[in-house]
Amino acid sequence: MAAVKLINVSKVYDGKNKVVHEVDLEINDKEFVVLVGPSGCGKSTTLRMIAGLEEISEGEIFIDGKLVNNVQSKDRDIAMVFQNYALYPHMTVFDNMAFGLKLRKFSKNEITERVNHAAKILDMEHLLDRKPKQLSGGQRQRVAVGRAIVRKPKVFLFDEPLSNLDAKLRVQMRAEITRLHQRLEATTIYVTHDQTEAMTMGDRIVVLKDGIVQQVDSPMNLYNRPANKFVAGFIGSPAINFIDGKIVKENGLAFISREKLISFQLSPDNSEKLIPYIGRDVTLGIRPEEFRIESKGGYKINVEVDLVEQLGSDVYLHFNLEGIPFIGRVKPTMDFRSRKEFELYFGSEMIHLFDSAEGKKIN
Amino acid sequence: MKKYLVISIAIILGVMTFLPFLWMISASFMSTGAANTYPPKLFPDKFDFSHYQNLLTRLNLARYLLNSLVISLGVTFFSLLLNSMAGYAFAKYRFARKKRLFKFLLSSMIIPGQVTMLPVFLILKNMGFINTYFAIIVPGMASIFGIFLIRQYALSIPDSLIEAAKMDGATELQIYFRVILPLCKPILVTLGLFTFMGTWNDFLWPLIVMTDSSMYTMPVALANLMSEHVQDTELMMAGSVITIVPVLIVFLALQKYYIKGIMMGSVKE
Amino acid sequence: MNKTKLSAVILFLGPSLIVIFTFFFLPVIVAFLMSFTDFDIYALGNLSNMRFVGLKNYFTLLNDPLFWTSIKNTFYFVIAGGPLSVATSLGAALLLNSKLIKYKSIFRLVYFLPVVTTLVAVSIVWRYIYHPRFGLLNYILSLFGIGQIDWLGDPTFSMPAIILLAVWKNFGYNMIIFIAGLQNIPEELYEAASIEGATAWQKFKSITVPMLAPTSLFIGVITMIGYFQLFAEPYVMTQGGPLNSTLSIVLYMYQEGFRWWNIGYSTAIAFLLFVIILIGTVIQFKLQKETE
Repeated sequence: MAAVKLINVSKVYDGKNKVVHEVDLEINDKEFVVLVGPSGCGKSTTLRMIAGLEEISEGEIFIDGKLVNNVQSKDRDIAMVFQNYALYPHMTVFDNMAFGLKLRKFSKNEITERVNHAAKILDMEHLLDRKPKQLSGGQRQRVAVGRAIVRKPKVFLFDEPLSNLDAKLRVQMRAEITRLHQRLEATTIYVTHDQTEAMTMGDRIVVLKDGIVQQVDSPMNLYNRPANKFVAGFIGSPAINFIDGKIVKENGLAFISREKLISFQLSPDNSEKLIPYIGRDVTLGIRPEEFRIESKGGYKINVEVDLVEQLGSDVYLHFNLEGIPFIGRVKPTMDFRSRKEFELYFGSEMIHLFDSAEGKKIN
Repeated sequence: MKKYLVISIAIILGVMTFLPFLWMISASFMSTGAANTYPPKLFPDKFDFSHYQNLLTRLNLARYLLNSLVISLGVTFFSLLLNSMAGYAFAKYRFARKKRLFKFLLSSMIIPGQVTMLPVFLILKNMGFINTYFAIIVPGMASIFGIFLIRQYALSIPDSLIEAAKMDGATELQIYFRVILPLCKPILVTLGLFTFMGTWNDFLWPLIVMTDSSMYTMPVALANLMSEHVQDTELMMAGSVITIVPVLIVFLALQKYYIKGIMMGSVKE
Repeated sequence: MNKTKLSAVILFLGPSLIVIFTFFFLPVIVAFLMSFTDFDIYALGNLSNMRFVGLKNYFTLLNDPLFWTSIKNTFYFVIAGGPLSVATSLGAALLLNSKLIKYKSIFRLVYFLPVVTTLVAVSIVWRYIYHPRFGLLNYILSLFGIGQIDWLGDPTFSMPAIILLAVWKNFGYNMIIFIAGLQNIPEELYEAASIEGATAWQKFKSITVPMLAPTSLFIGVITMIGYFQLFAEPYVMTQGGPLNSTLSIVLYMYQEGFRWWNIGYSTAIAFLLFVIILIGTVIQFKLQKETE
């Protein structure tokens, strides 16, 4: 098992098209790190540079303390699970898992033992003689994972391994991979575009956008203390609500939205940080789940709900404020379909303020 | 009404297509002179195998069959190897000017082979290959069409499969032999079939490079036989049957690959 | 993916490129150069007997009546045989694409059989079928009251005889490509046309024909290229006769080159053939563009 370290790593295509910008990242031994971001954010490219499938244009990558820039994939002691599984269609499940070991000249006994062990862990001993096309999507995924673990590599790499599975199976495999990680305690780097996957699986999450690292943090910190508007918008479902406004000085500091439909006093704890922004454009972010239907202090807004989505455990209230669509997520404590006008409350402690121009968090 | 019209046209076309084969086969079993009667007979009165015997023993056709077989298999084997390596490289490798090189090769396919025949003959003569199997096998070891066909097919192999093999520790040759070749099996069968049949049926080139009668291929031997035995209709028909049957067997066994190959070859870039 | 290592590129591409260069590109260049020389049987023995003669071979060709005969014959074959062959292919494809026919795979196999058979062998078979007295063809024609025709012995009929053989031999190949083209036309187009009251002929004219245009161009080009290279049929059946009525360009090239060893002259013929094919291809592409 090993630590992985990226220093100033960049990827440039054809000398002009820069898709990964100076990534610095330290992944500890046994850690499960998720790279997440929208498509084209450079997460897969970063993973592929670690895997040795893409050249590293600039910077250095260390695996287990060893510089690997000029080391071929096969000599990096890593294993990878691909989005489309990449199982060899002409080989049985057993041979798929054994292929890497055979090429590395392991003894027959050792190969059989390792493959059987992996098959047992993944509960697919009965599938060993089948060909990939006789397997379901979930089973194929398991073989791909099995192929990675028989090698006992220092680092596991996963490239969107669940995105070809249906929603239900995805939840199940998610838990299975997490459990497997707990069992094998191997350093794991996992790429996904799905923030739920990132939140549920990662010890730490790296949020990327346009090839630039936005934030590296634990799931809870990403949620509670997003570094900028992008991270706040990317993490959480339904997504956070944003509304533009200004900070004004008025018995301390207050936020006033453009059309003044939202205005409230800001908590004095942050005053010092916020003073420079007085009179400047800022963006307020409120997560849907911060809205409450009953007043327990906090600020009140009057809204006209135009759509109610009942999920059973929760209710999503859709409304517009100053022409911007909002979602509130509340508990089903009453019949929301009987009327349109609601008073919603939110507390000032869980609101987020961002610099409108730069996007960075200011409170 | 319309239905019967369509069916009868189809049947007439079928009969017209098949009749020469039928007559060839039955005439080959007629006793000497029996095919030259009026009106022509469609079936032999009694089966006479003597022409086949004659051809294979006295007229040395077994030797020509062997020549054709060795040459066709040789060309097929080597061209499959070389073309598949190149086709795979054009599909999956990344190197400078790959697209331009490939386009150049494709566009040069317009040059008819006849242009090159005399120089190739002289080159082979210098190499001492005239009147040897090499004269046909060596120039046939690679073809632009073969490379094109393999490339089109190999494009559909996902990159991740090759990457997975790389991570599994495979070298380039191991990837090619243990992953790519097994996956290309259908197109290899198709190309192999084209190559085998094309080589077996080819006439002009073996006619040029095989001047020693012991090195003749079947078509050349047959054309040569014709000049001496033009009156022996039944013998010539038996010779034609022997020439055609091997390719026919191969074709019938693998016809779906052949048909697919035609369709692939006609797909525009 | 990463750039592939140069050594791998060389390993995988090298062998085939060497073969293609040695036996294709190099010979094309050499042939081009040789067409400006008087390379003949003496030069074959000793290269110093070869002289550079400039365009002489080409000028000689243009004044060579036999060459013009071969051009005329080849164009006859291409212009009459090509369209006939393509039309037969299209007809057969339409037949096999029709819903009225059962056992399609058997018909397809029978139609296709001539394609895969050895040209020399079937040419020999047809030589006997064309026999003026005992041949099957004259017998069948006599049933319709048509008198004996000396197919291969009469200069009027020798080329038609070769065209008939070529159509019979080749139509199955293009048929397969046409079938693929027909099957690529979405069924909905015909259904929509039916709803709008189109007749079968109207559907053929305004759906099938335009949708098949790219396929037809491809077929037109490959058929033309192939037909310009006419060789084995006349070689086996007529040796170019009677009265040179079936002497094709390639047959003439073969005779000059490999029978008389006038190699410089022969390569000049080959290059003129190439130029003709090139012009033919360009014309077909132009025509296709204009109709679009």
